[in-house]
Amino acid sequence: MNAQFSKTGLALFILLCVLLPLIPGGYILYIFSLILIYTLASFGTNILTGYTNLISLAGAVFFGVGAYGTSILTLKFGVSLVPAMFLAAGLAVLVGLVIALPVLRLEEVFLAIATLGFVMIFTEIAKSGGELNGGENGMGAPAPVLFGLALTERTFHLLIAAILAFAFWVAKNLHSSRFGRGFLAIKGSDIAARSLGLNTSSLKLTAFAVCAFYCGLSGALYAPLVRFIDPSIFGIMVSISFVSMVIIGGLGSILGSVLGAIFVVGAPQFLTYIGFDQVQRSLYGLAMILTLIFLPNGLASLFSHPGDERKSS
Amino acid sequence: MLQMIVSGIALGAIYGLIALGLVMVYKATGILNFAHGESAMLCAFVAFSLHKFGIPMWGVVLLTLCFGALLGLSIERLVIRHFIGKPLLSSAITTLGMYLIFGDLAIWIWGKDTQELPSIFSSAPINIGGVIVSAIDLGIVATCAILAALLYLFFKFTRLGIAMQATMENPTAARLMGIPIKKIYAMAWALSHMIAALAGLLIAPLTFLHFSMMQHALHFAFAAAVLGGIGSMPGALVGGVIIGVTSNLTGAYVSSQWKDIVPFIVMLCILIWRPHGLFSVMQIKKV
Repeated sequence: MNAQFSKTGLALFILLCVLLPLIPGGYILYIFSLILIYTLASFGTNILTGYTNLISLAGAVFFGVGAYGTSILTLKFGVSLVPAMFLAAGLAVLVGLVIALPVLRLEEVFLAIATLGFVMIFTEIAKSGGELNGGENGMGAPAPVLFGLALTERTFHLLIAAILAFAFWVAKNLHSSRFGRGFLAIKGSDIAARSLGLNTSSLKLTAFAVCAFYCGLSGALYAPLVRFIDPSIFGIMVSISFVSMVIIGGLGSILGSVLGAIFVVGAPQFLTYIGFDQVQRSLYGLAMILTLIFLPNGLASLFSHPGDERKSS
Repeated sequence: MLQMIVSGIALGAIYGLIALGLVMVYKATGILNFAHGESAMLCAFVAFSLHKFGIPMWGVVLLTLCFGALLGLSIERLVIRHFIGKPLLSSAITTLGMYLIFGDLAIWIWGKDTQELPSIFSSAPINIGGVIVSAIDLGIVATCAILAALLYLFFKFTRLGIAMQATMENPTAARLMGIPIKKIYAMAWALSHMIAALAGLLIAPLTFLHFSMMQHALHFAFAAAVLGGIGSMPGALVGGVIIGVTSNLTGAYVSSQWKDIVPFIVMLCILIWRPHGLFSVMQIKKV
């Protein structure tokens, strides 16, 4: 897996998604900032679903807690932006643990639908927030600031890239750590992992917590980018798009998470950009179906050598 | 109170029908179909167009059911066939792609405006032993009961039904017994979409006719299917009724805001108690 995300791939990614969009700025830069933010969530979902094989549709909740947490902490409590973002991500971890505890015994479809229930509950809570978060009307989000200096869209893009680099490093190391091997053991077989003496419950909780942190941080970066949030943003479609990124990109692969984010954010925006906005949704849907028919192991399999197939799964 | 329960049962029966379709394709082909609600929506719109042509209501129902079957067959032939035996999530994301396409299709053909589809049943209230229920609710419950009975007979006594059940239980063994399982897969999709067409016909007069009409119902149907233990067809119907009744009672006695989430809380509680749903059989896993 680590070989898969080669140095050339990394350099190409930094060049194409981080540096080049800085030149035109504006809308194109916005899309690439969004891609980086979604990549962060994609890493988190990949750890939960790709490494550990837990299908969760609660991503939107973590994303929402991150976004609302950051906005409320900065605007209502005067915390400065970067600490607020990490506090909000920590809050997302707490929410993640609360969600994970009752559903630890569930598997596959049951887990997916149970976590989907939490998204419905979260949306309803966000709607009835009243003064604190503006309820259904939504609330403004803080402008990007670092150490008291206002960030332009270009510098904010670089801040997102720096946080993503850190997250990438953690995800990469996590894979070969004791936790990462535990996650893979659960993916192989829950029961076998338990009989070998692994504490699968605490490992699953850890996987949920890591996923919640990544998705929460992603939401925390999303709020200052779009500058306005309301409950309808954090619906089931967000959760589903997080899972789609991981599946379309390639389950269990870091490169796949990146490619998936580029596809899920980029494809609809690109279709609108080239003037297909009437048929944007259906062309995007068609692209999804065709990708999965012809590349069942995701976009990442385009770049892997045939011999690597076993390693990447 | 009783009125709320009856209309809850009616609504729940429709969720149950959609859940039944979900369970059927899940059991037969192992696919979680996110596009199922959109299929029902397309069927309801087709019924609307047929009705506008001046075709009598029984003809509309018949033609819509045929359309549903055709839709199911073509989905299976064009897309699903590539995903049988593949991991749960990649096929689920594929159906998500279909969901997006169907949504656009409905907007192109019928536009974004809300339309109205008259009910098959009259809306006159009926008084049964002091409880006033609308004929629509009663008709829905009766239709679902008849359908459930027909399905029971189909799966119990017809050759095709038994072959379908065998395929759902164990596709390899069924194939060795000479059952053409590919045809069975196609049949399962056709049948599930016929039921979806019926659900669309029943729910459209209650809600409205709009390209996003089924999104809500689909979430409830998923909850119902899981509640019943996704492998059980009677479970789906019972799950649907539980969801429908709790939703209606919360709407009436607690607050309309909680109407959409209390069913999910009930589902969570039941899943904590029984992780494989109400009607599941013990699963023994080999390691």
